[in-house]
This record gives sequence, structure tokens and C-alpha cells, in this order.
Amino acid sequence: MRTDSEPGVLRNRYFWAFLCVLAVVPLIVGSQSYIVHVLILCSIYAILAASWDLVSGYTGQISFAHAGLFAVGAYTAALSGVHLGMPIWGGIAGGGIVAASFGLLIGIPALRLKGHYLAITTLAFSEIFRTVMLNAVNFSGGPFGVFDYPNFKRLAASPADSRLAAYYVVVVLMAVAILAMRWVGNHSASGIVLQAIRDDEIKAESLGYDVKWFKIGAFTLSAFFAGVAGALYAYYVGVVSPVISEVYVTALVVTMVVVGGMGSIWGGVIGAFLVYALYESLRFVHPVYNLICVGLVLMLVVVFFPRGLYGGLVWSIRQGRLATHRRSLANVSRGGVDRPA
Amino acid sequence: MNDILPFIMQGLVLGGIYALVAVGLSLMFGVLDVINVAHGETLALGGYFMFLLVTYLTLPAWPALALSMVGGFGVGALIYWVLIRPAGSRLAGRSPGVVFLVLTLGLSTFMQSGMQAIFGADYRSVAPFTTEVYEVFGVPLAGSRLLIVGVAALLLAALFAFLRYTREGLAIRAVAQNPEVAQSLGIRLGRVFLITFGIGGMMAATAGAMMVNIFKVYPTVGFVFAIKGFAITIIGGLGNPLGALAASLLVGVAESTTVYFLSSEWRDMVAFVVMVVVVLVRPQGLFGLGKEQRSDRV
Repeated sequence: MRTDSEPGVLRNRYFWAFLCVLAVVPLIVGSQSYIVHVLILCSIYAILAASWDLVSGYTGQISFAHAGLFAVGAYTAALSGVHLGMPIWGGIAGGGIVAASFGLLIGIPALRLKGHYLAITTLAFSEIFRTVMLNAVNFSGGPFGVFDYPNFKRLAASPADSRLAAYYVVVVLMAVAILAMRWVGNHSASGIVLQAIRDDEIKAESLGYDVKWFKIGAFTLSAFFAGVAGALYAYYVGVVSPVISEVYVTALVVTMVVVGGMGSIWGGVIGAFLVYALYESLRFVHPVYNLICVGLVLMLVVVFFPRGLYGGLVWSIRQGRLATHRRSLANVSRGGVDRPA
Repeated sequence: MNDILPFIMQGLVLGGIYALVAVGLSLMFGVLDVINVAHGETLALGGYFMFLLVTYLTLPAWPALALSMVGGFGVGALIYWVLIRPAGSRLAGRSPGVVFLVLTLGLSTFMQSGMQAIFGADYRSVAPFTTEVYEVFGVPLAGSRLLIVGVAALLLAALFAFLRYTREGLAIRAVAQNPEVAQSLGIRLGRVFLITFGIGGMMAATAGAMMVNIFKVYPTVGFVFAIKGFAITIIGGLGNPLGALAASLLVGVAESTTVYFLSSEWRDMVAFVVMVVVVLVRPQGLFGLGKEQRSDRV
């Protein structure tokens, strides 16, 4: 799946256009608007969703650890702020690095195993991490979580300005993370191997690639970005509690990627903004119905529209090109050289 | 030694509940290669069936249990009929495990929040089957807890007898061994899948209905049982119901002795820690066999 064979609609310029729109939104709606708040969370979830896509969409290894890795990043940022007085930038990097080490630690045993084992082992990781954070009260604050650490409110003097600053910090980091993951997945040499692993692991291995280390590498990188997303979440929301390691976070992220289209990174971004906006707006109806909707959307998309939005778009454009190509071939053969009867 | 005995007995009771959950999961995996993430929600639904039948229809406990089991079979069959079959028929050659995991994850979220919308987040309970206390090996045990072990043992024995001695059971074992060959011999795959999912649902609902009076029921109650069930099926070897049974008892006892040696907060981690160790040391599970031999044990 080389880039230059992809239809024009998929080139980065659409992402750039989207970023330009994001850049001007606060100027139009005002920095204190609820929309800005939702867009900040959408951007954070876009990083998380894309990181899940990088390991599950590209290599086909289903990870349910991303709620846990997100929580690892968030707790790293919050706890290093409380205990070590870690500044925000250090916390963002630290969240990513600690989550990546956890990723490596889970990945080495779990990725030796095939699909189902990985899904369950990684689900267990999220639950173990949640239980530890819930019970290690002296260290993690227990069920009430961690608060009172340096956060995005310190970015500027007034609350309005710091909200605006937080918005641009998150959007810029989101753009960098997304482009980096897209590059790894589609433009780097290893990206092709990752996709080959998903399509036929044995064949990929027979071509001489050390499949296990490619999978572990993808998982570690994915964990890094999940941790960065967690740290951003911690700095924006200002409270970190064990709830964010619960499985509904994984369900939300999986829904985002499946709705957007697996194995493209862009799909994760599209899904994150759409699904989170839906999730957030349904909160006004009733706090339970938004999760009912997430579940329902996930099931409907998997059964009826398994390619997702982006995947469906690529597919229909490819089908269109194929049809045009066939038509021109048919014309050539009709008007061309005489064929033996 | 004497003060640890009660913990071991309680562990066996817990193991009985885990066995009902895990054996169903393992059976569904063995036959369809599907891990049903929504299995715990079926368990919770079984608990709600029991609660509604006893509280609002004022049925006695045993008929209510029987109806909850029928309801659980219906839920399991419905999950197969409405979700698994349509998704499976649209797969078109992609690897199926991913699809079903994501699909049942969606179902799990949907059912959990749906139950919260319908029944509220309150903890519901019913009166115990019996209030008598019996003494087993000098340890006093509540009759309702003993009943859990009894019902679990009966149901599991019935299941293994069904799989071994009936034509339907033979068909299920044949499909677990090789779906293509089984189909070419005239076994209707759809029917086998439907029955397998129904049985899985029924076992989970039984566990839910039996534990309402001890653990209470609330919308998210099933999830922890489901993920422990996954861990147990891995410990016992995926797709090996007998292994799942042994692993359930092992985990149940390990959990309650953890309460004895450490404290109850860490109880919920035991299954996962054991699982991680098993995955590292013996990835095919404690009682796992190669894929070729797996069907003999179903």
C-alpha cells in the first residue's frame, strides 16, 4: 500500500486544512466556549485512538491495554508533578516514556501469543493497573485520585488565556503525533512490514522479517503516544482517578477507530472527533445514553460498515478508478486489433 | 491450618461461580473461535431476571432460577442470531477474531449502560434460597453458598454428559474439531453455533441468578466475572472446558487464601497475576493441549 498509489483525497493537504480550521475555531467561538473544551478532549482522544490504530489497525494485534496505558501516562504526569515538582513539558515526555516502558514490558510476553491471548492479557493489564491505583492510597490517592499538581492552568495568567494556550498546545502536539504515526505506518519501511504482518503473518516471517520485534516495536511506540495522550489529559482536566483505566475508555477508543476506519491513522482522527462530539452532546440528554449510543454505533458499524468512514471512502474511490480503467480497456479491445474469432 | 480452612471452602464456592462463567466462555471459544466480551453482561442479566421474577412476580426461588436459565439461553441464542451470525457472514475472508472482539465489546458497553438505564445503578438483592447453616468439615457454611456449589456441579456434570453422550453434543464436539468436515457430514453449523451460544448464555445467567443473594446485582457486576473468566480460560487452556473447570476452582481458592494472607483489596488481581505467570511459563495453559487434540476434551 504505497502512498503514491493512493487517491488524491487522502494526501496530507486535507489534514492541513483540518488543522487550519482547528486553529481559527477559538477565534470565532471565543476561548471560553464549550466547543473549545470539547475540541481539546477530541484532540487528546485523537492521539489515543490513532495510537490504538497503529498497533491494532496496522498489525492486527488487538490491544485492550490502551485505557491502562492512557492512565499510566496520566498518573505519571500527575504524580511526578506532586512528588518531584516535574514541569509540564517534562511530564508529557515522561508520561510517554513510562507508558512505552510498560508497553515493552507487556509486549514482550503478550506478543509472543496470538490475537485472543493478547486481547485478554492487555485487558488484564488495564484492570491490574486500575486495582493498584485504587488500593495504593498513599501513593496514588486511591479512589479520589491525584489533584493539585502543576497543570495547563499555569500556562497563562488568566483562566481564559490558559484555556486558549492549552488548546493550541494540545492541537499542535496532536498534529505532530498524528503525522509521526502516519509516517511510521504508511511511509516508513517498517510500516509496510506491519501491514504485511496483519495480512499474513507467516508469509511476512518467511520473507525474513523478525515479526515478533516488529510487533513489540509497534506496541511500544503505540504505548508511548497513548501515554502522551494520558499526560495531556491529566494536565488539561486537573484530576486523575482510577476511572480512566476502566474498560469503557478502551471501548470508546476502539469505537472511534472502527467508525473512522482501521489501519489508516486518519480514520482514528476522524472517528475521535465525530464519536467524542456525539458522546459529549448526548451527555445533555442523559449521562447513560451516551454509552448506550457508543455501544450501538460500534456494533452497527462492525456489522454493516466494517471499513469505517475513511476506509469506505478509499474503497469507493478505488472501485471508481477500477471501473474507469476497465471501461478504457474495453474500448481499446473493441476498437483495436482484430482478434481471432 | 484450621483457620485457613474456611477460606478454602469459600474459595470453592467462588470457584463454582467462576466455573459456570468460564466453562461457557471456553465452550464458545472452542466451537466458534469467538471470545464473547459481553459474557459478563449476560450474567448480570441473569441476576436481574432472578430479581424481577422473585420481587415482582413473587415466584418461589426454584422456578425463578429455572426461568432465569431459560432466559439466559434465550439471550445467548439472541446474541448469536442478531450479532455473531450477520457479522460472520459479512467477513469476506478477513481474520474473524478481531471483528468479534470489537463487536462483543460494543455489545458489552451497550448492555451495561442499557441495564443502567432500565434498572438504575442500585444494588439489587433477593432473599437467600435457604437461611440454614450447615457444617462441612467443622466449618460452618451458609446453605445458600452450598447450593451454589451444588447447582454448579450438577449443571457442569449435565453439560459434560450432554457433550459426551447425546447426538447434539457429538455435533458440537465435531464442529469444535473441524467445522468444514463436520458440515460436509451433514451437521448444520448454524444450529450448533446457536445451541453453543445458548448454553454459554444459560450457564452465565445461572451464575448470575445464584449469586444475587450473596453478591447483589448491579449493571456492572458481570464485567469483573467476565474478565476473570477470560483469565481462567487462558489458565486452563483456551477452548478446553474441563481445564477451565479445574482452573476456576484453583483461582477461587487462590483468591480467598489471598484474602487470608494479604487483604481483600488485592483479591481481584489474583486471577490476572496467575494468568500472566501461566502465559509466560506455559502459554497453552495448565491443561492445554495442541489444537489437534483439543476437541477430545470438549
